[in-house]
Amino acid sequence: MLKNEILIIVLQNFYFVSLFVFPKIIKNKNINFSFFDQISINIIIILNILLFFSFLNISYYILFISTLLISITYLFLNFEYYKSHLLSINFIIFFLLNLILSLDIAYGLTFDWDTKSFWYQKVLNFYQNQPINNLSNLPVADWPHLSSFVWSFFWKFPFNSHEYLGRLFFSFFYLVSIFSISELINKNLSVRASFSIILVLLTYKYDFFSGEADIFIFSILIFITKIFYFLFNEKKPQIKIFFIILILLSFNLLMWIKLEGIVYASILIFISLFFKNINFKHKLIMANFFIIMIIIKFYLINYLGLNINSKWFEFNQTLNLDLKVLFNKILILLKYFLYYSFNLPIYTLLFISLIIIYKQVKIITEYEKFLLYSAFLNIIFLVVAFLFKTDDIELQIKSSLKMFMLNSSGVYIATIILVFNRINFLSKK
Amino acid sequence: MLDKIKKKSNYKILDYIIPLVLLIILSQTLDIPKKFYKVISVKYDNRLVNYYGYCSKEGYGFIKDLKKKYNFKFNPIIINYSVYPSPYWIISDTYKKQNIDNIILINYPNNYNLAFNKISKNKFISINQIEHSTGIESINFELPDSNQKYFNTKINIYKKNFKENKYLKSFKIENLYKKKISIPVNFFSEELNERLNSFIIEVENNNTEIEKIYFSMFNKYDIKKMKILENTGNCYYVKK
Repeated sequence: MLKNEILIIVLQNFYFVSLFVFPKIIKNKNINFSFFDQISINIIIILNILLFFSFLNISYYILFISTLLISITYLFLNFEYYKSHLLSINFIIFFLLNLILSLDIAYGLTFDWDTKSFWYQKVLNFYQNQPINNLSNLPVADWPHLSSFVWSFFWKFPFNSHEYLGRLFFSFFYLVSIFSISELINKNLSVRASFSIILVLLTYKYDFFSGEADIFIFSILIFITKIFYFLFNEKKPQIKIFFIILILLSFNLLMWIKLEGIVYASILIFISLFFKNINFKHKLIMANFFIIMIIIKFYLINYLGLNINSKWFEFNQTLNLDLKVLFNKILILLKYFLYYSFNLPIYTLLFISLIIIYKQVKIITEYEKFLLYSAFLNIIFLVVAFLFKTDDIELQIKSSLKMFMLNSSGVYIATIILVFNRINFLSKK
Repeated sequence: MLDKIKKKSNYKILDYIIPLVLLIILSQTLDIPKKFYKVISVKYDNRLVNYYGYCSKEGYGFIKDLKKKYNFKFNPIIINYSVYPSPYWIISDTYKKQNIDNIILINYPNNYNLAFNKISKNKFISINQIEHSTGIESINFELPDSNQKYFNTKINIYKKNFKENKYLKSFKIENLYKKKISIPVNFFSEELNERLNSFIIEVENNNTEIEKIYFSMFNKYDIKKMKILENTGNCYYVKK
């Protein structure tokens, strides 16, 4: 007989399916979203709802029950629609993959250094029904709380059993984002499913699910690049607006997951300003609402006593430009960047893709340009963020560069897939 | 017609086979069958003890058992003498106040020493970390056999830094020459409590090849001065 733990893991995954798959929150006949896009959109919207509730000191039980009831109602109302999708090869593979990763996490169990020291205490804060302002009594009060809140929510609901059940959501979202971006491949479902598994083989490591928020950023960045794909290829302004809302909702999540989320969002907005595929009015809406979201964030953290500690920015070191030290830092950074690039195969694939684009592709689409500029600015940000940090950057690089490289690599997956499509196209010729 | 059906069915089968083969490869890569067996055969708490140790590593089992037995109404102080992340994640209740009189000590050392390795004739570097001391009780030297009568030297202690080492303190040592010398210094400072950086000793005016140097440190939590409530191996639950 299977022990309870396995049964709970399976049921927890069924719960994720019921919560994120069944609601058809967005119904628009003019937009042809795939099944996994629909799930991603549900996740983005539900996470924003969770974020909103994280500021209210209410019983989250009501939230759990109401979301569950809504999901089940949707299932009964659209049973035929779900039946066809849930039995597709893509979804079956997705679910099996989810169980595999869930087992790996259930076996792994361990937390990394920062999770033990900081993140997990935030999780406990919410798990033990403490209000958000109690975070000010815990270490690194200024680190954003959303990933910890989500972890505690899915730890508590529905089974309130082992802590790792909350982290299973991270693997669920990670897989949804990978299956969703793989749909950019111009091939049938089976090839897309196979490609998704290969991406998991290349990107999955237990360490990324040991409690840090980086895998969350990675998944959201994948989703954002997919929505930008729709945005660049859409002609109707009223539908474009809808995509912009989705992008803004995703930016909102990024900001509340990790501080660098603000920078990633700013980079994407900045680059999109240079593209004609998005009209001036839409750019204005995107930039203005983003600024408003930042103001709200800073107002809220100030109000809750979770102000950002200026020590993270190390202004003294930033402004103290000693060329010899700077050169030394560049060498150290380059050494570790290359090392981790081989350690994270997505980077190796990205560099190969860039070479293919340079050598073989003559006409680059606007969306591809957008991705390339984003990748370029992301890498610049990564260099600058470490270069102007404390003098002993080797220590910092060893502890955080890999995760930093992982979370930003969400932007690069679409580039790799588009190059994969191009190779197919060239071989046909 | 048959060929067409065959082709179609082959295609469909292939559609399933490739992803399934990849899934099997992934399962093998992640060693899922073994992990499945472990998850169903080893209890969750026992798996955690296997990872984090009972009274070793992070002392997970010892701390959890104390929590079960004493059902703390407060968060006790938890000190781990080995270098690990903050141990409060194991039992912390975020709504309880900390009680500084109740202390859990993990990997409590019998001899609390800061040891140094020789990196050149007159230079030594620390090889372990000390985080809970109040200072140096004595400085200990191990010397080679010699006919010398006296051992005279001066040592300068620095904290290793990226740009330049930070000077901390100097000691002049004058003693009869012996193979093992222990000089009481009673130097009180918390500057030697360090998790990341190493310490450097520079030896001056020295004609003797020093083989080994280590500091005996004052322990901030001396169990001899506290009431021991629980003890397993080198783990203690004490009250001030």
